[in-house]
Amino acid sequence: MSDTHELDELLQRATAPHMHFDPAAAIATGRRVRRRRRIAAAAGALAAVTAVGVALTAAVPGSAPLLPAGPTQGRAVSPKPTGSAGPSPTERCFPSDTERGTPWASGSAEGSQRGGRVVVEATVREGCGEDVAGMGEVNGDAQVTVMFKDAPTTAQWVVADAAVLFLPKGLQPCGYSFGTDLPAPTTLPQANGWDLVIQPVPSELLRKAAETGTVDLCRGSTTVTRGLKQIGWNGPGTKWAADHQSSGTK
Amino acid sequence: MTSQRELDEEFAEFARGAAPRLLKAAWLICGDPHQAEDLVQAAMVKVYLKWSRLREGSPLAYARRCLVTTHIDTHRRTGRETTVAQTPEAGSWDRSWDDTDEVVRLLATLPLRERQVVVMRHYAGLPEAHVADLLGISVGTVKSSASRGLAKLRQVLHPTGGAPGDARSAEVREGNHV
Repeated sequence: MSDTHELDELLQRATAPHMHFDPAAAIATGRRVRRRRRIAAAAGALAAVTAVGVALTAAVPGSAPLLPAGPTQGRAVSPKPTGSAGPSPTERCFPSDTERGTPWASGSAEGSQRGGRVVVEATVREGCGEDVAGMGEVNGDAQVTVMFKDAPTTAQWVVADAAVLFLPKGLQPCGYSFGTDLPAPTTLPQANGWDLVIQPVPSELLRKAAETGTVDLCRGSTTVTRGLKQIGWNGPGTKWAADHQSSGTK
Repeated sequence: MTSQRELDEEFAEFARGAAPRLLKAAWLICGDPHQAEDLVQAAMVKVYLKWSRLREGSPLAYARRCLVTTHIDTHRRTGRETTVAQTPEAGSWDRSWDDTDEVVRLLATLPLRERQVVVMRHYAGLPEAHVADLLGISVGTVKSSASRGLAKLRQVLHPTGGAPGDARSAEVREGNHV
């Protein structure tokens, strides 16, 4: 027998110790990695992958959750700081792949830009330094993820594929700045007493809605809030985005 | 359009079929079953992330590539290799060898690159061109690495004169072999 064949046989014959591999664990880890990548991309203001129709876009915590444009929004920025200031407020939202936060609201409705449903999941992440929203796509459904730094006490909303509103019971949207002839919204009562409202937005209005959209809120026929801005507007999120965009790092 | 559930099931079926040989290949390369499990797990996660594109191609080849590159990355992070003839009390890089199969002890006498080439050529049964592509080296390097590795293993397996231990002593090396 040649040395080569002897080596082949030796390697084949070698008894390996018992080793274990769990495909389900690999899938679960892969999902977490995928989800984390999407949301991390969101934190930088925008990321769009369009070549294969799979888009990861999002935005957070800035003024334009989706398809932003304009002098301070035209490029993506890294969510990772390179300085020594420690993790950014957004990065603190993701201390590990295993921590998903406390579920706060969820639901889905028809009306995705991609033809599927808009699936919303909102959680409270105490590690977050700001409210964060992100969006991805799974099989034609828009997956909107919102992470609140604290459980909201006032109405919150964001445009990500559709307008997503978190409203205390009794409030309803009664006017948007970006358009008037909108499809009917879906209101999904939550166990916490709030309403999740998913408002489909026509594609031609989406950019405007994401960039500058505000909403009026009514209780009955009385307007109680005018021009409510989206998550991150004029708040820590905006400052965070501005810091990163002006310097490229933090 | 294939649903995510169907893709996951496809991947799981592939992973169950490929894992045993990948685990053994990883074990032969790194010498430690726990590290082998970690390497295969990491490689499979990478395969999963690209499954929709890989499923029509060669997911196993990609898995092997991920396995090898992940091991190289780990190896570089944990420091340079020091392979010795006498089994150390504690593993100098991957782990100690004293509880592993004889063949792993033999392979441990080879530098990492030669070990990878030998395992991929003689265990995975890959052609030289595939090994070259997998490891990012030339076919000539694959041939020379395989030849050197084989010669060293031959010397250990069939020492001419002296005890096997003497032959192995000749294999003592220190330093960077990557």
